[in-house]
Amino acid sequence: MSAHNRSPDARVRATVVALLAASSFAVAQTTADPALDARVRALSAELRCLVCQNQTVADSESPVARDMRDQVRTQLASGKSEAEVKTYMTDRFGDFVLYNPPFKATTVVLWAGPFAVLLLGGFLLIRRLRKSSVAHAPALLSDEDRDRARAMLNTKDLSN
Amino acid sequence: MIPELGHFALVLAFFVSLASAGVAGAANLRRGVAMADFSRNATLALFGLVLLAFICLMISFMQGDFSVVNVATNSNSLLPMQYRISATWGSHEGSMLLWVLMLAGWSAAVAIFSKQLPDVLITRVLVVLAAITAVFIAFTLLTSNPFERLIPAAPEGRDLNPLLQDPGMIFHPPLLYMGYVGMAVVFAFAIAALWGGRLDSTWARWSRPWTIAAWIFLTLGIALGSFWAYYELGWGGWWFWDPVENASFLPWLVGTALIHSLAVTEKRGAFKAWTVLLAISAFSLSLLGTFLVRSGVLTSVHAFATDPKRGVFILAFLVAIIGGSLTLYAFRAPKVNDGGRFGLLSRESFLLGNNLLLVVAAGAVLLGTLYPLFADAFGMGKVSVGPPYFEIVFVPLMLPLIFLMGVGPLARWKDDEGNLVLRRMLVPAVVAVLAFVLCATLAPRFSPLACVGFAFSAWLACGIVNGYRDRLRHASGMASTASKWKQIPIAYHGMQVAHLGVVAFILGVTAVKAFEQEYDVALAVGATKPIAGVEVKFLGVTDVNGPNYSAKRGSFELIKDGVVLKTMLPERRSYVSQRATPMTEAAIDRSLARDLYVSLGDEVGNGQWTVRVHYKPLVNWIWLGCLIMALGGFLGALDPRYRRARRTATLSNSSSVPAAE
Repeated sequence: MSAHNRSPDARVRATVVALLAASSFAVAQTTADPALDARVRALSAELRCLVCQNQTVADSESPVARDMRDQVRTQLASGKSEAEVKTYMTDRFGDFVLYNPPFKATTVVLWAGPFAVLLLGGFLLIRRLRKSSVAHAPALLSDEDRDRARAMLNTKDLSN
Repeated sequence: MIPELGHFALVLAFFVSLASAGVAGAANLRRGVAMADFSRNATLALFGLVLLAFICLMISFMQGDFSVVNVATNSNSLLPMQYRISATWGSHEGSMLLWVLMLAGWSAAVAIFSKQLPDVLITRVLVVLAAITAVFIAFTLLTSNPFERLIPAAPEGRDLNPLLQDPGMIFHPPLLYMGYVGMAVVFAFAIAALWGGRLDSTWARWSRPWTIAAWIFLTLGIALGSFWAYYELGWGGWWFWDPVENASFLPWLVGTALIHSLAVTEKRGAFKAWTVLLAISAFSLSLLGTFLVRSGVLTSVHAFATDPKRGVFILAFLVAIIGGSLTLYAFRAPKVNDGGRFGLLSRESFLLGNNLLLVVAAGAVLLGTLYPLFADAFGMGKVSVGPPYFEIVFVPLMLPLIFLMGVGPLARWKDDEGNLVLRRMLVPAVVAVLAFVLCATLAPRFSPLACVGFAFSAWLACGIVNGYRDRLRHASGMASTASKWKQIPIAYHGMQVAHLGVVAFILGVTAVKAFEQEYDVALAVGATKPIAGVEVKFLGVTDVNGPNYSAKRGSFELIKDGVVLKTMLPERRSYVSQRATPMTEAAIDRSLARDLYVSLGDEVGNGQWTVRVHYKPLVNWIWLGCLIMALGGFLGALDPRYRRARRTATLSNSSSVPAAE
């Protein structure tokens, strides 16, 4: 694991620009189309700025991020869908560029893990609680009684 | 001379901590002797020495002594005095020393405020703490010595990272570290309890105020960090799910679970083994956070000082701590009588549900944070896991938690009846549905997210009101409402206030997420940008000079219905030391209802500047909510039963002597 991309690196940028085929950094940021603006913002919030330490394309002010935003805008404006733009980006930069990792074989654990653990934990918990409440029902001694008895016995069972 | 004095004090502190842990620990293990006074005095001496070392470093920074490597790399003769002081902990070396200082400080607090605890227990707690301190001092001295000299001295310092030159950064690291390190005290109590094999409700009562104290600092530290990121990083977000942020969030989640589980252990004697496991995990996650931040294995916006060598040291320590404490746990925990039977529908069950959700949430955050590392290590390619993932996974785990927060506090301990529980849920459910409908009809646009958020806040708020009504109705006797109110223990207020903080927090988060407006525009002088019922007029840019930077200062007028409300002056600063990356200083018009956020970008030719204009409804409620949560924690820790413990303590003291083998 290298400590990659600590600072905007001119070479990386040149590569990115070349890959994006973005020739200019024209300020295409003001348009009279708020719907397009919103789409550009939403999509660039899911893309990783490739030269930043850990920032989305939407947040970053680096020139590369600006180029990528422009690319997203140009492509969306030309009628491409979000999915097509994402494919365009992953074709060039790999899954690394997506902050929302796609669901596939290598990310099954990532996506399903938390919910599987929750289900398993919930199942074990409820089974345990059932058992404990069944054990609880026919108890002849109340808990207070048992506590008092334990206090009288000076709880030697816990110490060694 | 002063750096050498500090260095010497730190070396001495290392030997004091080693002696304290070694002598008292061995005496207790081999002869069953409790050297409480020795441990207390050694701890106080340790704190004094570390404090001396810290003050020496601070003086070097204040004097701008560039013959010290750490000062030369993190300060500058132009740096204003308050930032020279905060630069003491602005670097990796300095923040490790701060970490050690906090640890020694917590240990000293335990030594001073634990007069009512049995000698055996307090000795063991202090032994564990001294051992941890010894490791961290060794780490500081061997891999990151802040007192290292630079010969010949540098003529000028390289300056403190401009991002850190901010009032928020003076207080954020100390608060956060207080929280992280406070978990060490909780850990030490857990280990001491396992050591003696005595896990009981008195143990829970003793560790509870310390847990809450650590949790308060953690809450405040995280909130302040988020607040700082919001106005200083310049792009208006308040949480980025960055590895470093997650590292602080993990112990918070587990610490929150721990506070709730300790409540059950204290009141009902149940979940003992689970509670100890949580106490061990909370501290382990604090250490893991340190490892992630310090080693640089993960790329982060917050990584200011990283070095793989240091990572190896902390990783080794982490393995030793987790491995050692889990082994001890494996030996002792099965012997623990997990007492306290309870029914499927009871407050215990609801609290177990809370614990499950919080722990799974922490697990999800941990998984998402470490996944890029695993993927890389196992050759699955480079992946990024960012905000979209965490939001998708985290929110579904939090909704049931908020649901439980609404019913749990009302449920009876031990056993409750299904239809009673349902009946208590009726009014909050109706109110929640009403809130959903109101939000759907009144909001500027329909947002399912916001409506769900508002409905859950209403549910929770209603649950809090119900809780108080219940308390007043069932208070003893025919007393007046006022005197019934006085009978409510302060810890109960603490819980309800903390939950109220969650209500404010949810409102803030969902309102911002659903209704914020962001524009990234190029404005010419004289142009206006309408946003959320006001207009932002661009008046121009002037040059200004600060002590160690020069800046472009934009001037904007906030206009509503033709009336100028306010002039806003965002800046774009170039620090003398770091010309290449300008820093944005956003101008924010704050109010409880909304923030209006303007930050200045680059000049783009023909007199136009890129400008970011954000409208952030209810954003301040996020941090306000955190403050209220912390206040709730404070009230909870004030409960007199923690100070009344003396009598019960002496009772169990007599019974704990034979326990000391």
